[in-house]
Amino acid sequence: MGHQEVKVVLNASVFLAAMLLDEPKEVSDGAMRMLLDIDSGKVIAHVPDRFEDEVLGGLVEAISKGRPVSAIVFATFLHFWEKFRVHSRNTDWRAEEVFQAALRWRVSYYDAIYLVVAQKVGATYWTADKKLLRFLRQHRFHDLPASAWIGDYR
Amino acid sequence: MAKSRGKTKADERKLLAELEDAKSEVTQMFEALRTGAISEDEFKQWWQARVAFKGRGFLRSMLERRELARGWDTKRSKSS
Repeated sequence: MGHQEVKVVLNASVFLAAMLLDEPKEVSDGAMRMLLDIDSGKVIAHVPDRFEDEVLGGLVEAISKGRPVSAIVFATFLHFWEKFRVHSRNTDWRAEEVFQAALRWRVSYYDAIYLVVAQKVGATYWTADKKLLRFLRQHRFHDLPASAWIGDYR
Repeated sequence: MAKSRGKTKADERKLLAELEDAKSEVTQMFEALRTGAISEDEFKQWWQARVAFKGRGFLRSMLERRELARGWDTKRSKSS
């Protein structure tokens, strides 16, 4: 009997939440649990190529604002980047389908990239964005992938 | 000018060396956790001390920018 692969798509907010000391414990603990599961191979993480811009852009912003971000943070990003299955524009997702999905689901183009990747690979989309999840649950679009809040990750 | 170029090169080399050290520290710590050489608590202590950083409001402002990108009516989404 083959075992079922546990697949997740994680938003950049999840990765950053694990790094931040000031986030509520449930959020940072959930994010940390997910990273440890990814590292051990218990779950397979899929991310769009855009994830890199989001995380590293966020770190540059943090450093520019004088936050105490060390080289270890960048090294941690590189450690995980090698473990992620990265989905690239024009190879794994196309601008047209994301554009249509964003309009259909009434979310941003950015949100739609993650959701389209989750839909394609059959993964649950994990985010720290409670407002987005509330919106998606209220509207119950029939073709949306499963989505969840990182504070609920066990 | 040449002096300042030399200083920049030296800074770059220092940064790269720092990054290489950081990469090996990260690899070692994850490996130690996977093999059971350290406990999850010990790993978390290392993470809190070496990786995590203070960034009050950082995530919230990132999520607020996402919200703006959705073109949502902020008043309506706040009350929902």
